[in-house]
Amino acid sequence: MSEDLHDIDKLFQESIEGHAEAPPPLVWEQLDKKLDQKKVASIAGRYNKLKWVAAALFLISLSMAAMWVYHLRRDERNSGLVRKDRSSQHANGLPRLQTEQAPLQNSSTSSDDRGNEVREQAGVNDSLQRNERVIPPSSQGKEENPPIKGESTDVAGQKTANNQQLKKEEQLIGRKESFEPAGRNLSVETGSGRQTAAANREKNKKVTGRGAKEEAIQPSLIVKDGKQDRNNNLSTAVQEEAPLRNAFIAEPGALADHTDVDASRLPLLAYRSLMPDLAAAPTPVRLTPVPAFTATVFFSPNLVSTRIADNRIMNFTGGPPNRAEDKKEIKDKEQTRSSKSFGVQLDYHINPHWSVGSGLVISSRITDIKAKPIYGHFDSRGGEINYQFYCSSGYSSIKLKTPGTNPPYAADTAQAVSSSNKLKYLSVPLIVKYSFGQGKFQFITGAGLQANFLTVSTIETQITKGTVQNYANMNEIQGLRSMYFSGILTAGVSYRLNRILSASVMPTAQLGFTSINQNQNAPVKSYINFYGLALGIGVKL
Amino acid sequence: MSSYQNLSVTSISELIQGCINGERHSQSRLYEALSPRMFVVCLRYARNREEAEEVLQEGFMRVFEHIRQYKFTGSFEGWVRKIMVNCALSKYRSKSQLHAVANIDVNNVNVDYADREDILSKISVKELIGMVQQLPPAYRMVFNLYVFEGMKHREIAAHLNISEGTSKSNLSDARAILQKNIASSLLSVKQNVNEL
Repeated sequence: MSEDLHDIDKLFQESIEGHAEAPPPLVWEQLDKKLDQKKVASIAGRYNKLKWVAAALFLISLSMAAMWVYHLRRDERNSGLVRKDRSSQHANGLPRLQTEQAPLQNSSTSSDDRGNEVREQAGVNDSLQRNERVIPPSSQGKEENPPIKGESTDVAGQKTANNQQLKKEEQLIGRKESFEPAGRNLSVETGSGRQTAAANREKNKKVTGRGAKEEAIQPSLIVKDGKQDRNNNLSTAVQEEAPLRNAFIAEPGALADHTDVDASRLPLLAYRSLMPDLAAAPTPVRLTPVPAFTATVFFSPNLVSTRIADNRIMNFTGGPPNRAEDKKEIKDKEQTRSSKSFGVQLDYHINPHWSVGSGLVISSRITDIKAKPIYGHFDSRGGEINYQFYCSSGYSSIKLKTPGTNPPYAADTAQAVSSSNKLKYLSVPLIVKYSFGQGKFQFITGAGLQANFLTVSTIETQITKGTVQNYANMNEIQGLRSMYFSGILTAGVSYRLNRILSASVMPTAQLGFTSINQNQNAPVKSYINFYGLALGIGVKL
Repeated sequence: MSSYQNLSVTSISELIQGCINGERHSQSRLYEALSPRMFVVCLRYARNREEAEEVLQEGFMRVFEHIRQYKFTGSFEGWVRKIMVNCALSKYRSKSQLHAVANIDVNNVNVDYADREDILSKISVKELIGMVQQLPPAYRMVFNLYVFEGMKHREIAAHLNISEGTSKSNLSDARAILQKNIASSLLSVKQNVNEL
């Protein structure tokens, strides 16, 4: 009998094994369609990494663009100040130094020649070390500066006119000015007496409200009523007015020989030559510069509301059926346990009121799911029957790992006693903000869009099958989108703690524009809305 | 339609590489080359042609999805065939609760054995496949896995989640049924010849 049975085996094996039969063409057509669907899914999956790269590039680009705009604006502001000051100077009838030198040059004795003689005597290198001359204060009631010993009377009239002009300028200069080129100490007599550069720096701090840091960074800038000019302007002026400066540093005794020059005015002229824009600023201008960037670190506890809609898309891939009762069951069974967000946001201030912000936000949500039955379903991906756990995020196949537990059959039932669903997203917001201030308070409103990238999705559950209990932790939820968009609305207040730091309280609403689910493989479509209170610390950069 | 045997190793490698790259033309050619033989495999495991077509479609879908996992070592046809068998087993498992319990009397099988060539001359391969298809699902699975895949009862038991004894018993019953069917078939052929 055994031999005969073996023959049966051989009979079938040898006759069927080599046989081939073409399947109907319909099989390939359907396969072709399925491959098309899979290709779309595959491409989408392949581009997930690219989405991350794109988000990173977007942030970098945004930062670079903001930096570029910031530098552009700063340069424009600086050049604009120079232009403005120069135009104001001309408008006030205060000619530049070249024109001021004309009367001196036109005097009966050539001051230019004498200036050269003085330059020869004094030398250039030690010029600024000798600038400790005290300029007679113009505010002491004298109409004119006393003539220098030996001064000729024919130039006295000319000098008187010059003195009147210079006196006006002295009064302007007398407010508060000094500069300290290349670490040398140049002092200028003002209305309140002699001031050193250090003293003037202190005064400028008070006037401008700027801190020591700024002073330390740009020690050689010309200070003009709180404004600053570039170092190259200074060096240009110094070069242009070198002859006069040389005269200025001349020895008193040497100057006494030059009867056509009022030696007491030379320092002032030299000072004016170095500070060409000074006279154009009659009143101190207080600048309250808008910081270009503000970085804010924040934490926000959230309330979550989930809007659940039917997923009416047909399911082609063997995933879970779109049951009508899923929506109700999910609504009834799920409750958010906790949700929080934290991150950093970088705001670029376009002007004092408007700003654009972006950054990185990590948000998490844990949802508790009440006890419910789960059923065995054929999983097309693994080709096995597993229990499938449905929730608002999607579904997950559960493999029971307890030894001795039989694998489920189709429509087999077990009880998921207590479960939780955890989702984490890395988000990139783009927000336009409008702010207005009242003292130290800034009231801020904003609106924008946020791209949320899924980073973690898990379902933890405890399953009871008869007397056996299984704990399952699934790290893969089918039917979740890798990215969804939400809109952001925010309004709050920021309090300035000091010049750099500020604290903010920003109630924020995030409204899900797109569902977190894919069209396929998810029993429902879930739209997540967050309502949070963002507590932040901002740093002006 | 090009046969798989007619393809050179280089052509097969190129087709596989094309499938890895997701080229539809390569997928189509590979399907053309392998589907006739794979369809027979599916027919053996399925209850009917429609079910065999489903298994074939699903099997090739898996082949194209997981073709990257093929290491270019061993027979590619064997690799594809294994996927087809797994698909068929999955299909069987998914419907296992619906399978009616076979209640067949295999004790009264009285077969007049004929020569193998004689049988094959009188019964077509399609009829033999039909006989296998008509076996109860559990018997069919065991018979296929034992006879065609060369599995041991221990392995069959693990695959079908049954005991080794059940596997042996199912195989024995399957053989008896097939012998009976062959005998019946031969008998009807003999009667037809006599009538003529």
